[in-house]
Amino acid sequence: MLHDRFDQILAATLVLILAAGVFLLATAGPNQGPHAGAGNDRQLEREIVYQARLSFLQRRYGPVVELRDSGALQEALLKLEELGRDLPGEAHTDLLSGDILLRMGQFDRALIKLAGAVRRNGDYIDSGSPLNRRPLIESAVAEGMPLVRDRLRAQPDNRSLAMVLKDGYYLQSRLAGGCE
Amino acid sequence: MSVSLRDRHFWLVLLAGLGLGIFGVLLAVWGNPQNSGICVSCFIENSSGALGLHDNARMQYLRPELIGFVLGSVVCALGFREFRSRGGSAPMARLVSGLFLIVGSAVFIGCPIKLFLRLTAGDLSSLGGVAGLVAGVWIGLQGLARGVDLGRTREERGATGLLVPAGFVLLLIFLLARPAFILVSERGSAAQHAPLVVSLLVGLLLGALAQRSRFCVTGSVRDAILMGRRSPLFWGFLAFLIGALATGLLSGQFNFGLYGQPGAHLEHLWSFLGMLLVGWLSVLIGGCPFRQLVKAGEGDADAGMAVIGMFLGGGLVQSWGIAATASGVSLPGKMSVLLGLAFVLMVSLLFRERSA
Repeated sequence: MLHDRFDQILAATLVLILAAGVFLLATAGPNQGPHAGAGNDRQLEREIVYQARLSFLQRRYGPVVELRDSGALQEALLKLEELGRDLPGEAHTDLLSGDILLRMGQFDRALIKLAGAVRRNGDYIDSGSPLNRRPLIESAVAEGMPLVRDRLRAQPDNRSLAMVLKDGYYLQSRLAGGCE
Repeated sequence: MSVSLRDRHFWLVLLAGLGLGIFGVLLAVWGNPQNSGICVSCFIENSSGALGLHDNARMQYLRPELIGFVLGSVVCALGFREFRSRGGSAPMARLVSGLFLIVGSAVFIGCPIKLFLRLTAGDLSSLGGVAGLVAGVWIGLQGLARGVDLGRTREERGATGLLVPAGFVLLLIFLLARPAFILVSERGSAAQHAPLVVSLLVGLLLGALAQRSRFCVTGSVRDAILMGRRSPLFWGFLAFLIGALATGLLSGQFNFGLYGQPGAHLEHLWSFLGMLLVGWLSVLIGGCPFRQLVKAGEGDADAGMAVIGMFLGGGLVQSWGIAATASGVSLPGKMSVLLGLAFVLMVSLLFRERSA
């Protein structure tokens, strides 16, 4: 393989470069260079953003949760509507709307809202997440789907009911797990 | 049955098919996402994310199975003196094909292995994909019969076939040493995984078996169309289906139905087209995503190009919203499948040897 001096120089340099790499790795401290710890920072930053989001949701939606827990469901919905104008597209608005509508027995609207929430934020069905609301979503699907199916059988041309059923299937599929 | 029972290769194929079916279900029992015990495209999307090629925080995990497939194949090929550096057959076309293999799989939600794992788990929504894969393989065969050919692979100087295996050795080091730049999901489907050692060992075993037997799902479909029951791969494929079905039934993973299946959507046309793209491309480049990994481990630099394309695809399908979800297929997903079909049509036109 090493036929002449040029080959030998190349091979020796290769060994030298590899040894230098091993030496650098072995002797490098934990925080060297301008990008040191960039990955750590990214993971940490992600966790901080997540925790900040959790406390933000608790703070902003706390009054709604209090109203819901005290049984003032209509007031809670009104408060949510108000919040929805401040925070358009926020999945938590849909999640709490779904929760409240479910308590009010409005299964169709609850399923639509819950599907919207899960589409925007998969954490609501993630057992390992602090935002996990699996039991709520499971009960909405278990109670709501048979009713929606029955009504659709009676009114097969009802397109909005068909959309609710599709949202229900979506939730069933997400609850069943699998790759996202 | 017209294959010889005394043929050692036949039993190897049977073993590889059976192993893929059984472990494909068991890995889900041990922690991988439901119906995704083995899914090369999902694993590639996860691994691309772990390397920072996309920013979906729910899809980042360096999947040990993937590393095992390649390194198992390397060890086996070296041990049986089958490792040969080869390449030089339309490398760019193969790279882009690898990318579109992941696009088609992501729109269906699963590679050809997962397609049949979903089917044997009772998921009827996978039927569109099955039809698409068979149609794609059939169209690909029609092309081959009419002279579509990416060109001959040649022995290559300089051991270029070692580059992709060396890349996977580096990934193994990353997996074990866990440097800070390798991202790991704490939520979502990438956070669901079997124990690292188990995943790695299963990957190594299946990679080695696939290398020895040349077993591949798309190749089995191809051979079944061409040779029917005379092909050992047909029987390997049957063993794969029986293994997956039996393990699914015994482990309680079987859930028969069309609706509410894990990691599935109801847009059957796009499931069909996504898998048609995968089947067609697989025939053109000589194997499905799993087979590309195994061939790359044998020193095939052309398959290595497809593997690199697959990693790029893994990043793109997540970054550009191409990957389908349970709620359906996005517009970028549909457009990408059409683009992929346009690509494979163009390749078929440009790489066709026409008789004078």
